[in-house]
Amino acid sequence: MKIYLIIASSTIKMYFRRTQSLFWTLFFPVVMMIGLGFFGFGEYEKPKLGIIDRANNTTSKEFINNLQQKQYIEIDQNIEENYEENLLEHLTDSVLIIPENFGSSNNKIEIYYEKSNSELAYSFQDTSLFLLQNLQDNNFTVEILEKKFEHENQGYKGFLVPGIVALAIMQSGILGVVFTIINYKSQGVLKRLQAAPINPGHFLIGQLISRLLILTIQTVVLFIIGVLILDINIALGNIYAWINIGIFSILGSILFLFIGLAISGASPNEDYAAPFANLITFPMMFLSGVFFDNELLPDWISNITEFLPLTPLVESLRESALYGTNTFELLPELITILAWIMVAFGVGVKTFKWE
Amino acid sequence: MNIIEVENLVKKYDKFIAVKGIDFTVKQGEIFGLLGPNGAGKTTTVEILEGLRKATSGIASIDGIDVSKNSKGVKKIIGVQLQECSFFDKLTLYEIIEMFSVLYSTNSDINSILEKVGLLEKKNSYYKPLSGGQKQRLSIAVALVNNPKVLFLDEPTTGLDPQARRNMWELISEIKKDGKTIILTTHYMEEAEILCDRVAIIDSGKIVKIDSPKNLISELLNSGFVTEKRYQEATLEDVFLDLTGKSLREY
Repeated sequence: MKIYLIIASSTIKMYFRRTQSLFWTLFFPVVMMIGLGFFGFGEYEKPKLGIIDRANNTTSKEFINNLQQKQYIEIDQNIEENYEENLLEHLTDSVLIIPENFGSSNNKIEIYYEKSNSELAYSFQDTSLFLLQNLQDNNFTVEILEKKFEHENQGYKGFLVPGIVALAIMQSGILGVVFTIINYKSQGVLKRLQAAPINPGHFLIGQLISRLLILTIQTVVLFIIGVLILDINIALGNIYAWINIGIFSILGSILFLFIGLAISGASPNEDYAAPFANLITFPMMFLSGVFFDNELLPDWISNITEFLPLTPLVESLRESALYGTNTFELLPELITILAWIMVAFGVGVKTFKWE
Repeated sequence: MNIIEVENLVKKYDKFIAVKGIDFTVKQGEIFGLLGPNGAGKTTTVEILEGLRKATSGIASIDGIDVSKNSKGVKKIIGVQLQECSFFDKLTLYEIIEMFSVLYSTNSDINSILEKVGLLEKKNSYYKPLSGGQKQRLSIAVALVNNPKVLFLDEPTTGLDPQARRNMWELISEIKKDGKTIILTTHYMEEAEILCDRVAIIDSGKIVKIDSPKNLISELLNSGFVTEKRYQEATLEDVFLDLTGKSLREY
């Protein structure tokens, strides 16, 4: 026990004495978070209007057709199923519902929106009223209604913060382990440890304990900065959010530490390890939904990227932070992460060598 | 009494045989030198004794413990200074010794170990900025944390300036006075002549000769050998030390 502790405490001491490691784990993600979060990167898109046509008659079709002529609006007619969730996540800015018997007995159109999207809802209302005046009858009304949600949409920064936290866990988890082990190997530190009466397990577990602690500190600091500087609201204090963030960030940390271990073990020598680590982390940076929603990718790609190690971590942290989703609903993500942990652990332990 | 016994030790790698069946014994309390050109098999032999490599065949034991069967038991009673190794760069010397003291499950007096190797004043500095001689002395300090019965020193003076080398010789002699057995590998014959009680000369994985330096020299002279070099009253190294002094140059 004492051996694990001295290795862990020494590693932590060295970590805080090395300024460049602090830079990569904290400064870099913070700058990225604040920069992208404040400038609202990713928010310039055509306003999206979902349409649910319950009338499905000539009047409603003519109205929809006229709406579609407007180049500045993107129309989505396959919205019925989970339109509320889409409203909350701003995947759809407003949803317009055409009632049954539209054009005969019921002429009231309803437009739903999420609180922070009210301006767009007003403009959809204006456009609709204008178009309806040109239809045969004149007594159409368009009412806009705010859809009440337990939480509020937090815009791009709310989307971004959990993504960056997950990205930072991956980066410092993998790179921290890979560079430490490579340096120790090439400098002969590991060889000197091998000459002491300890097992590789002592060294590896001591490393993992210290790294896990460092990653936890990093995760907490990044979320605090997100709350204080970017003013995001983590699930409005929902207890599930905090429990989930705890569970998933720890499991995610373990996963990427093991992947780091596997990379340093599987690389034939130190010249290969760094490029190998980049080869693995770089695609995930862009394919795991850190900066933009993976639903924007073509289906066949997002079906694959769903199973990348980083994707379930990004999604579970985001779901928990934004909506306080309970752990049970995040079971698929949990299973994917656990499966990757077992794979990485197997490869890491099998391939680890002192020299 | 023999503290180290090596019998018909062989180490084969994929394509070549580094150690081709060597035998030797080391007596308790002596400094035993392993001499030989690069690639002769010195380091491989030492690393097998240190439990860092597995021998292909043969027996090696230290203080009655078989190295191949109980390498952990051997590691506990030996001290190791490796030829190419380094220590944690962002730990102080005190913290490094403290860490190894825990790894060896001992409770050693860290300050007195640092004092023994002349690094007490440096206890709060990091490893990286140390001079070559200081690094070697730290390496020896780490090797002493478990108060070992046998100390392995693999080329401890390679790359050191003449002052640091002499300082290292003094340190090694002092450690010997504490009753420790020392296995020393070196390329410097002068060093072996001064420090070693007996030496084994290894070439191409085999031991060519084992005896005390004095006996080996007189044996050669008795065989009619005459040195080509004319006798000199002093060497260039004597001049160097006369001009620059014998005190250590480090800060």
